[in-house]
Order: sequence, then C-alpha cells, then structure tokens
Amino acid sequence: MLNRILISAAMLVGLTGPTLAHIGVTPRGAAIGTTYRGSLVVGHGCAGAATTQVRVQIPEGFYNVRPMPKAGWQLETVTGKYATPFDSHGTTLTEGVKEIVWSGGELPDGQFDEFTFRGTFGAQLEVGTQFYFPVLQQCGDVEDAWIDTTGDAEAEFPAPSVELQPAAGHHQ
Amino acid sequence: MHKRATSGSELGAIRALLLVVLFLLGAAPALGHASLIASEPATGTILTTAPDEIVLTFSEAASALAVHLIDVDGTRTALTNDAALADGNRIVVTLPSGLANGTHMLSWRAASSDGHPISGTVIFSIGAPSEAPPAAEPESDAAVRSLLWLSRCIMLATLLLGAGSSGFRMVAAALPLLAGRVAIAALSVGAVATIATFPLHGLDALGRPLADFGVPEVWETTASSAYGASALAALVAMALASVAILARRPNLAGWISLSSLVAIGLTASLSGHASSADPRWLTRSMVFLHVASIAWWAGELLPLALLLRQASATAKPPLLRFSRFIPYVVAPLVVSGVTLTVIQLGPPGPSWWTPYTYLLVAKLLLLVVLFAAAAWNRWFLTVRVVAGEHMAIRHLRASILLEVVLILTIVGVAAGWRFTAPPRAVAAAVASSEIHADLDFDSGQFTGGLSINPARTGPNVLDVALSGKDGEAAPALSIRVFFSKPELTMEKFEIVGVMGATGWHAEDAILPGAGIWIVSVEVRISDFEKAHAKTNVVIAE
Repeated sequence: MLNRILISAAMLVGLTGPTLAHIGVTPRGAAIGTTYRGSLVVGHGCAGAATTQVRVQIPEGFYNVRPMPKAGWQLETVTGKYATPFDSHGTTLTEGVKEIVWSGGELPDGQFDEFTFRGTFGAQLEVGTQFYFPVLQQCGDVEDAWIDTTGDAEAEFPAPSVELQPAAGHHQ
Repeated sequence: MHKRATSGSELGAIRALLLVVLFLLGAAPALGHASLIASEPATGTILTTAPDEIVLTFSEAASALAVHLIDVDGTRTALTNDAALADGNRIVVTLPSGLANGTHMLSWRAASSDGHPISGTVIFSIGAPSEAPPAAEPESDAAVRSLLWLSRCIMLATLLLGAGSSGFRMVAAALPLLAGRVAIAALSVGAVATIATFPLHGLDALGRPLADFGVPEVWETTASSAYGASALAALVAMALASVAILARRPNLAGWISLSSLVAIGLTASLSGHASSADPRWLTRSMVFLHVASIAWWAGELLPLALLLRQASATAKPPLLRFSRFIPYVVAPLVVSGVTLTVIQLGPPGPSWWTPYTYLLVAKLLLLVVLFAAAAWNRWFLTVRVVAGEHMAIRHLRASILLEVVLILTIVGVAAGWRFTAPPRAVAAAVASSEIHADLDFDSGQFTGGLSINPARTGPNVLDVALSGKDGEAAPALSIRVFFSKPELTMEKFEIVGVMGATGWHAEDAILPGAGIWIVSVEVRISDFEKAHAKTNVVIAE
C-alpha cells in the first residue's frame, strides 16, 4: 500500500515537474576528465509542430566529440579550434567538433526521441557547476532556442545542462 | 453737459495712466507656477547605499510645505521644515540616517511662488526594490476642496460686483441708495469668505482635513504663499470699495474706487495659472487688465439696473457715460482674454482635451451670449432708453440682469480652473515624462538603455538601445522585453516590438497599471547566446 502511494506520488511529481516540458540531457551528472555519453531528450515539438532539426552547440571544455548517427536524419558537424588544447592520452587535440546538426527528419509532437553524442569533460572545469549544451530545436519555420544559461528556474527555454562531479579515481 | 463730459474723459485718461503706473510697480517681482523638472536620485532609481539627501529641482522657485518619508514597512515619518530647505529652484531634503534596504517613497508638497500647491513622490530603492511598494499618499480632503472653491467663488463675485460697483462713482456722482446698500452687504460677506480662504488654502496645500483649520501651521502656510498676498489684495480692494461707496466727495470717491480696481487686478495677477506662464511680464499684465476690466464692467451693471428702475431721467447721464466708456473696457478685456487663452492652450495637440479646455469651451459659449446681450444693450436699447421708450427701459433692465447672471456664471466656471492644469503645462509634463533606465547585461560585452514615453498607464513608446564596449554597435539578432509586477499575481508579459538599426522599438505598448514594474530584457547575441538585463521602472497613473 505504502509503495503504491509512493509510486503515485513519484509519478505525480514526474508528470508535473518542469523538466518534462523542456529539452534535457541525460544522464544529468558527469565526472570531470572522463568520457560522457549524453542523450538530448526531445519530448515534444515546437508549439505543436513536428521537430525537423536539432542543433547542439559544444561549448569550450567538452572535447573530442563524436555524434551518433540516427536513422532518418542527416548528420553534420561544425568543427573549430579549441581555446585550450586538449590532451587525449598523449595526443594534443587543437580542434574538434563545436556544433552537431541532426536534420531532415520528422519527429511528431506527440513522440519523443534521443539525439546522442560522446565526448570528454576537460580537467580545467569546475566541480559542482552546470555545464550547458545550448540547443536549437527547429520545427519547420518555427524555432525554439533552448539557450538560456542563467540557471533561472523560471526560464522559459533553459539550455540542457549536466552537473559536473569530481573526477572518478583522481584526487584534484 | 458738454463741458462735464470733456472733463470726465480727461480725468479718465489720467486714471488710465495711474492704472498703468501702479500696475508696473505691483508686477515687479516675478512670481510663478512651478513644476518638478527632476529629482536626484530620479524616481525608480535603485541605489547601492542609502542617500543622504534628495534634491528636487523645479522649473521655478518653490518652497516645501510638507515632506513625508514612507519607508519599507509603510511607516510615514514627517520630515521637519529644517530638513527640506529651499535653495532657489531646488528643494534639498535631508534624509534620516540608517534607512533600511528596500523601496522608500518621499512624498512632498510644495508651494510654487504663485501659491499653487504642487505635489509628487520620489520612489527610490536601496539595494533592491521591496516586494510590494509602500502605500501611496492620500488625496487632499474633498470637503476642503469644495469649501475652498465655494469661498473663492464668493470672493471673486464680491470683487466683481461689490467692489466693481464702487467704480460707478466714476460715471455718476452718487450710487443709487439700494445699490450702495447691496454692495456694502456683499462686500461684508465677501470679506468673510476671503478670510475663510486663508485656512482653507493652507489645509489644501498641506493635504490636511477640515478639523485642522485652527492649527497655526495651516495659517502660516497661506501667509507665506503667493496666494496669501493675493487674498490680502482682495481684502484691501474690498475695504477701498466700501470707502469709495460711502465717501461723500465724488472726486475723492472716484480715485478711491480706481485704487480698488487696481487692488482687484493685483489680486488676480499675484497668483494663479495664467500669471505664471511665460513670458510672465505679458501674462501678468494681461491678467491684470482682464480682471480689472471685467470688474469695472460687472460692477456698473447692478447700479445701472437699479438706477433705471428708480427714474429713467437720472439714469440717462450715467447710462450714456457707461455706454461711451465700455468699448475702452471691452477692448483690453478681449485682447487680454485672447492672449491668455493662446498662451495657456499652447500648440494644438492631445493635451488640449483636458478638463481645462472643457471649462474654456463652457466659458466661451457663455461669453457669446454675454456679448450678444451687451451689444443689444449698447447699439439698440440705449438709444431708445435715452429717447424715453418705456419698453426699452424694461428690456434694458432685464438684459442687464442677464449680464450679471452670465458674468457670475463665468466667474464660477473660471474658479474651477484652479483645480485643472492648463494644456501648455500638461503638454510640457507629457513631453518631459519620458523615463530612461540603464540596462546592465550579464554578458558584459555591451551595455544598453531602455526608454519609456510617457511612462504612464496606457499606451507607451518603448525603445531599447544597445552599445558595444568600444563604441561599436552591439550584435543583436533579436530583443525581447518582458514586464512583471511581483506584488501582482500575474505572469510577466512580453511587449511586442520590432528590431531596428539601432535597437528595438515598440509603439503603443500598453502598460496596464501604475507602480513599480520589473523589466527583463533578453538579447539574442548569436544563435546559441543570449544576454539578460533587469531593471525597475516606475509607471505613473
């Protein structure tokens, strides 16, 4: 009985929670200096219209990024120079993916999907802060810009974010 | 008969000269109707530390009547007169130390040099604005306002009919007995009404209830204002008129009644809206001419009507002389009236449609009827009365009484102007009511400014201008502007605007209520970047 109440309560919280309406990235936490496999969860279209393109910006500090192809979507990347070069197992990387674009698909408003990528959080990042992945969701002519990085709980279009945790197995 | 008329007109010329000389002496000090131009800190400002003082800058010299500080909890503290020092066009208000963080209101009432009370509130916040702004200043007492209007009406009517009728002694050797008695009785009532305006004006100026009429501060307030001088001039005019009516020697009586007319002119030109418009030498001379002329005209009417009832034979010489004089009185009356109206209205615009203009239209309509009656009297009836036609005498008397009623009504309408602002002042207030708030963006790459015009409830023009750190244009793909009011349980709302070359612009943006609003400005710098700024603005009623 208690379990059922708790489950109902959890469901209610889950249903009414603000994250449901937003584009988010999972998992919500990541360790500095380790590889992170993140998925952008697109739960709905833009004001009822089907999603046709997802663009994510890779800010400085997230290196060696590889996107995951998706059936039915064209994949493009924009590369650029890193402000701080990244040391990947002895190889110094000075440039890499700065933006990923999945386009040409059609994700109806009533369905959800995930757009996955992988990379590594640089050691210079600060533990406990939020790392934002600004996302532009295009639905035909309509655009929702999930680029608010203020951390304001009332923000209409917050950027998906990951909480940075201490590097596993390292002492900093 | 012919000889008397000549000597009368010579005397008239000397008297006119005396009027001008006396007037020039009386008009020397420049007095005016002030309005607030700026305050430092400006209303709506958020300060990091508590200010020591608030400086109110007026368009003209002004002195503080009552200053209250309403603090964060809504507690009202009266600041003493020592804390609000007048310094020419400025009033410097010294604030108590140790003000708490949050929103404070400095509510002030001041007297401009023409005696009109003016008031306002400066809202400022220390640290950050409070959740809900403190309660606003109550209006001045309605009973005080209506009693003040009534007593001023009586005062003005007495000046015009009672004091003015002493001027009859310029056109006739004696006043009809009944006219003299009526005038003396009216002057007594008028003097009481004038004395009553002393505490009433003070109560209105300080925003206090009727029960406080005995408080010395109330009387002192009037005494030190321009209105006090104006009311004193009225009392002098009434006293001189009584003497002129009762004086035995017609020659002396004529001079005293002329002095009374000068005092009436001074009463009007020492205070009031019209006397404070620029150029002041012109408006003040026009007010003086206007009121002195109307007093002479109005004052002749009752004695003439009474004289016509007594005996038409004795009425003829004064009637003829009145008829000869009146064009020289109506001409300055009309010229000064037109001049003042043009000045007070200012250039055409939406500010014309105010209560001031409605009263003006009512007054003009009454004037049309008044002038029609006067013209009929002068060019049609007077000739027939002199010829001895009985019907004409009766018509003339009726018509003269109609003129009296019309003039009294016009005076009542004009007394209502005290409670309105002339369109020129409204237009000036609207033009200067644009507010500007700095926008401090979180990105740090650029700064900006928000301007709101006229910053009143209703439609407004909003502009956001951005400027880069090195003076270059700031990059902006789009700008969004939101308004919210924390104390209202409503969501923030967005103002729809368009991007222009220099920033963002919105026409006819409706701001739904007065008070402190929080404005959030969101600038899209690039596809993935936004910058935010928040500021507070105060929107007036």
